[in-house]
Amino acid sequence: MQPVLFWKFEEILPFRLSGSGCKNFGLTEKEFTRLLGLLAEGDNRLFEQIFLVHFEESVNYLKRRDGASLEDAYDAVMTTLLKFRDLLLQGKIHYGNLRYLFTRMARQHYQKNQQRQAIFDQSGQISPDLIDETDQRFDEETHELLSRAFRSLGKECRELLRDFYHRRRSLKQLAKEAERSAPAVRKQKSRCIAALRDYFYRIS
Amino acid sequence: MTTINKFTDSNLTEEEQDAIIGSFVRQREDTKLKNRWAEKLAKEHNIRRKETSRNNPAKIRKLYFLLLSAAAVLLFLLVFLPGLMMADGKELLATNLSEITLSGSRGATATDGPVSDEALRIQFRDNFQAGDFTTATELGEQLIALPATTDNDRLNLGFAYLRASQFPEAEETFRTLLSTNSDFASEARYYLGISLLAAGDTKAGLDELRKITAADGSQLLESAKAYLDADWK
Repeated sequence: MQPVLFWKFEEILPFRLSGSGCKNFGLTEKEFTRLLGLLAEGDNRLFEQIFLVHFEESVNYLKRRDGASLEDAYDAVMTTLLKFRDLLLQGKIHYGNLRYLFTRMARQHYQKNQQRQAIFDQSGQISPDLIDETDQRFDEETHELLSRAFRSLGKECRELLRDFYHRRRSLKQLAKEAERSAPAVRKQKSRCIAALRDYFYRIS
Repeated sequence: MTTINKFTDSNLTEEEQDAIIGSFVRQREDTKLKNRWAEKLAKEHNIRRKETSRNNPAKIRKLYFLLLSAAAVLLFLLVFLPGLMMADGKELLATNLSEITLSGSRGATATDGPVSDEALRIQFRDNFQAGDFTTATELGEQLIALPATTDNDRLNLGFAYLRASQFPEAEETFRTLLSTNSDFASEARYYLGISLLAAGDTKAGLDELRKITAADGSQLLESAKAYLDADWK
């Protein structure tokens, strides 16, 4: 029997054009919860299906509203997509008016890229930290060394670090899935990081 | 203090360590997502970062003519040159290894499998084509672990191993394909020979290539002959 593994996308599309569905890219609250679950499992397909459909609309909005060039608007919306996914995983975005939030974030990213701050004054409903850059930036050399060190790790370590840092899964969740104790997973993570740092140290 | 210095500092706290590694992993994975989305936007939604320019048709025709001329000369050289001189085996191998591209689907295809298989295949192909063979091997390994994997996936994983210079893994992959009476047995035999040659086992590699016959297809046979006729001293 074919295993039922995935959400049926056609149950969501076509998007609802009025009411709370419209404000939330066609998602009901239940579907939104499902989206969060899939993202946490590392499955981005539903997210892509919903948000890539609205990409052009957001680009056009920035072009129209802020006079952005295609390239600038594209970059701002792409950055927003990545940030939006990450914020969803961190539980910082709640069901309510996702479309408004997304559009405002895109505008803020555009403005930030343009080194202008004017729009922040108008966005009382949105916490400024939603677009704040908390991640460190690396120069090309460091990034290359880190990439080499990361690639030198075993498959399990790479997957664990991806799960923890990129999919924002807690050690407790990871331990539960692997049927191990949280301290054991923490120890494994420490060993992976030690191996990464050791290799980095040797090649730098 | 630079990130390099900071990261190698033995007094780094767990929080600082998490901040550096977390930032790196997120940026690395986000870049992959970004590339994937850019490709999807271009292919499925016709949205590109830059407007496609409308070039002068006359210029395009001239360009085509030049490209066709160059291709004709290249074809002539490829067909006749190997017969005129004995190639150096190691040079031939190095050139051919760098030109290995992915195989298209044959036999069992991905279309019947769950979408995740296809998504993984796309990621695998994207990374391979982007030259990130190490990541491609990781994805290929995940792909062949899935129930709906195909022999084509395994063949392509073998290619990724070859491009990533993981010759023992490539050898094992092609041996597995051979042992399963796959549709790709001919290719598996040929690339098993290549894997052995690349790993430095010239005798075993040439022995495998000697097993290629006309029944394996003229292209494989010609390629195998080129190796067998080459100078391996």
